[in-house]
Amino acid sequence: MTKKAREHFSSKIGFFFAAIGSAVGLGVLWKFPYIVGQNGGALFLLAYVACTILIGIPVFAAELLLGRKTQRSAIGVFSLLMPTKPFWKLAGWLGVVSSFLIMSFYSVVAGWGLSYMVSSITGASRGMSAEKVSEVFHLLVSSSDLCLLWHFLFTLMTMMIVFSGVRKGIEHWSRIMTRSLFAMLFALFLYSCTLPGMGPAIEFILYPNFETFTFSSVLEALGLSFFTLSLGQGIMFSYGSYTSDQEDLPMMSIIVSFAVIIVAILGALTIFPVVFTFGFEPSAGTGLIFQALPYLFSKLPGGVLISTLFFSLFVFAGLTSAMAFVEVVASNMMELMGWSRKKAALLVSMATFIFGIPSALAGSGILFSDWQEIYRMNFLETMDNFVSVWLIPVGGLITTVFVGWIWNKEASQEEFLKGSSCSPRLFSVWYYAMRFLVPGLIILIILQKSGLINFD
Amino acid sequence: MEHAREHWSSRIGFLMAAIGSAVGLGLLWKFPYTVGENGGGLFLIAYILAVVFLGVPLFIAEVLLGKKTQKSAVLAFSYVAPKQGSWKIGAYLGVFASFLIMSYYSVIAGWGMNYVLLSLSGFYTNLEEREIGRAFSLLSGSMSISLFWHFLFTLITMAVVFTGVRKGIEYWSKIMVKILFVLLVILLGFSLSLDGLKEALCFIFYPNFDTFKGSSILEAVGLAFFTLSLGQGIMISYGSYVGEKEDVVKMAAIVGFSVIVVAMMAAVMIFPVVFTFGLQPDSGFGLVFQTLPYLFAKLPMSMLISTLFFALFVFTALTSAFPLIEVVAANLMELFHITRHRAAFFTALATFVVGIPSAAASSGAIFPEWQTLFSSNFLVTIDRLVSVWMIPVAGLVTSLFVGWKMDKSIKQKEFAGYGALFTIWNVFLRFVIPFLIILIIIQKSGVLQ
Repeated sequence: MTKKAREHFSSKIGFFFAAIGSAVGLGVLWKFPYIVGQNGGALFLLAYVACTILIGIPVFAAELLLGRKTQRSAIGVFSLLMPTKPFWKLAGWLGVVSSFLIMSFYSVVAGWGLSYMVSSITGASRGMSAEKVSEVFHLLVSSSDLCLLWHFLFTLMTMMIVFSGVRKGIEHWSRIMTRSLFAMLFALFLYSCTLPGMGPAIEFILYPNFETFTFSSVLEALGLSFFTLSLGQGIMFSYGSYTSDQEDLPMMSIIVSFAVIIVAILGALTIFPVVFTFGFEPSAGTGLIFQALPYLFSKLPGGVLISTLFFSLFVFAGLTSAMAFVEVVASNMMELMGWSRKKAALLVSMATFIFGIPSALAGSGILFSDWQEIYRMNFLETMDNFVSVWLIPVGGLITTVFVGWIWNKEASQEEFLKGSSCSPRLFSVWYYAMRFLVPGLIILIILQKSGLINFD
Repeated sequence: MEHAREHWSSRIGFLMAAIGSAVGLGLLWKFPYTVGENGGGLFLIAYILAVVFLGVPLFIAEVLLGKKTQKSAVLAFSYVAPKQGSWKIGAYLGVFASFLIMSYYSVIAGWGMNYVLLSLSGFYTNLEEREIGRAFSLLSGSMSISLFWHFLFTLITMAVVFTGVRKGIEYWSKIMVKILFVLLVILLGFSLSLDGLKEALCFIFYPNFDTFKGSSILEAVGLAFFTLSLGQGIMISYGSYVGEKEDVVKMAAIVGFSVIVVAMMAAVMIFPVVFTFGLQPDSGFGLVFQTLPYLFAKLPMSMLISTLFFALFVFTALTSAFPLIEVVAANLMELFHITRHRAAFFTALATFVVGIPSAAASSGAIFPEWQTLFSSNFLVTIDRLVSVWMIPVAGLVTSLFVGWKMDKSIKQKEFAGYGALFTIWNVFLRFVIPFLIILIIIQKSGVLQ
C-alpha cells in the first residue's frame, strides 16, 4: 500500500459523470426497451422506478459509503472493517469476479459496435436489403479474426484510459464521453420524434398492460434496476473511495439514479420509433441492435449520420462502463498485490482479453464447438447468464446484509450524514431498507431466476 | 535457505490441511464402490483395521521424517542417510507420483467445475433424459473445453500454493475443509430422506461372506494408503512444516479417524440416490458424471442438489491438489534453491502440459492409438501406473527407510508418553507393512493371483 494520499475525483461533477457513465451501459440500450415492452409497459416502468428508488438507491449509497469510509476498493473494504471474519470479503471478490467476467464478453459486443461505427462512417451499409444486413452481421460474428481484432481494439482503448489514472483517465474521459453520449442521445431522440412510429412506440412502452404484467415482472424490474445502476460489481466501492468527506453521497446516489432512469427511458423512446416506423417486431439483444437497426437506418433520410451517431453512442456507452470494470479489478489488484496502476491496468486488460477469446469465437465455433450443445447457449451467453443470475445478486445480497446487520449502526449513520444535507430521518429509512426490504427482495430474485421457485 | 522454514500457524491448521489432502476424489467414487464389491461390512472392518494398524503408522513415519529433518522428501532421505543415495529412489518416486497425479487430477476436477457452472446455468430445466448422458460425452470428447477447465483448475491451485504455506495452503484448506464438511452433512441429510436408504445401508454395511476374498484384504490395505495420501511425499513435506512441540502420534490418529468418518459419510450419501432409482452401483467417471446427474434430474430441487454435490466435488479436489503441487514445488525449491513463486509457477505449468494428453484422452486428438496399444486411454493408464506401482513402491521404501535407517532414539522421542507403542510401531514399519505392500504389488500387477 502506498503511503501517499489516494487519488480522488477532482470535483463533484467529475464523479457524477463517471458514475453515470458506468451505470449507463450497453444493457440500457438493448435490454431495457425490450423488457419494458414485454412486461406490461407503463406498469413495468413504474415498477422499475419504484425498485430503483426503494432498492437501487439504498444499495448504491451503501456501496459508495463503504468505499469512502475505508478508502479502499471492494475487497479491501471488508478486510479492513472485518479483519477477523474473512467471509464478508466474499462480497468484494464476487464483485471483482463479476466485473472481470463482464469485461471479457462486454468488449466483444462493444467491439462489434466499433465495427458498425466504422462501417457507418464509410457508408458501407447504404442501400442494403434486410437479408444483406443480417448476412453482414453473421459474417462478422462468425469471423474469428475480425471479432478478435475489434475485441482487442476495444480492450486496448479501455486499458489506456484506466492506465492514465482516476483523474486524468477515468474522470477526464467519462466527462467527455458521457456528455457527448447525452448530446447524441438527445439528438437521436429529437429525430425519432419526427418519425411516424413515435405513436406506437409510446404506446408499446408507456401503455399499462395488465395482461403481461406478472409478479415475476416485478422481480425482472428489480434485477434490471440493479443491473442498470451497476451494483454488485464492486464498482461503486471503488468510485466511493475516490471521493472525499465533503461529498454528499446520499444526494449523489439519488441524482445519479434518476439520471439513469431518464437515459433508459430516452433510449427506449429513441430506438422503438425506428422499429415501429417500419412495422418491425420489437426484439432484444444483438438482433435488434445489429440487424434491425442498421437496416432501418439505411432507409431513413440522413441514414449515414444517424447510424454513425447511434453506433458512436453505443461504443461510448460501452467504453464508459468498460473502464469501470477494468478499474475495479485493477484497483483491487493494486491493493492486494501492491502492484502499480500501470502494471495492474496492463495485466488485468490482458487477462480479460484472453478470457474473452472464447466469447469472441463463440459465433464461429472454432473454439469450444460443443459448448452450445452442452449448455444450450454459447460461451458468451453462459458467462452473461452466470454473472447476472448468480454473481451480481449474491454479491449485492452479502453487501446489503453486511450493512444492515453487521456494520455498526452508529458508524454507518456517521458516514451517511457526513457532508450530507439529508435529515437523520432519511438515514432511518435507508437503514431499515437495508435491513429487511432489500435482502428479502434480492433473495426472491435469486430464487426466481435460478428456477428454484416459480412465482407465475 | 537462510531464513527459518515456514511452519503451520497452528495445530488445527496442520490437521485441516492434512485432512483436506487425504480426503480426495477417490473417496467419492472409489470408496463406496469398492466397499460394496468386496463384502460390505466385512470389508469395512478390514479397511478400518488397515487404516488403524497400517495407514496411521506409515502416516506417522512420513510426518516424523519431515518433522525431524525439516526438509521435503528428497533432502529428508539424503539428510538421514547421506552415504546411501539409493534410498532416495523412494522420495523421487513419491514426488513424481504427485506430479503425475496432479496432471490428470485437474482434468477430472475441471469436469467437476464444468458441472457446477452447468447446474447453475439451468441445465435441469426442461431437460430430456438422454441429453444428460450426452453432455458428458460431449464434454470429455471436446479437447478444447476439457483443456479450458483443466487450465482454470491448475491456475486456482497454483495461486494458492504461490501464496505460501500459511497464507495459501493452510488458510484455504481451513476454509474449504469446513465448507466441504457442511456440504457433506447437508447432502447426507438429504440422502437419509430417500427411499433407497435401507437398500444402500444393506449394500454397504451387511457382511457378505461370499464376495469377501483374500484379495479383498489387500484391496482394503491399498485403499487405506490411498485415502491417507501416503507414498506421495506429501506428508513428509507437511511434516516439515510442523513445529518441534507437536504430538505427531495424536495428530495422525485424528487424521486417520476423520478420514474413516468422511469415507463412511460419502458412501452413505451416494448410494441411497443410486438405489432409489433401482440402478446398479457403478464406479468411476460414469457414476459421478452420468449416473448422478441423471438421478439428480429426477429429484426435487435438482439444481440445488447438483450444484452442492459438484461444489463438494471441486472443493475435495482442490484441497487434495494443493499438496500435489506443493510437494513438487517444495522439493524443487530445496534442490535448486529457487523461490516459492518460481517453483509453484513452473510446477503448475509442467503439470498442465503433461495433463494435456489426459484432457484429450477421450477425444483422441492426441495419441489416437494409445487406447489400442494400452487397452485403456492415457488418463487411465497414468492412473494405473501411479496407483499400482509408484505409490506402493514409494510407501514400501519409506516404511523400510524409517524403520531401519532412522536413529532409534530420535524416533522414540516422538512416542514419549505412549509406552510400548513405539516398539510395536517400529516392528510394523520394519516387517508388517513392507510385507503387505509387497503382497499388494504382486496381486495388483497380476504377477500372482
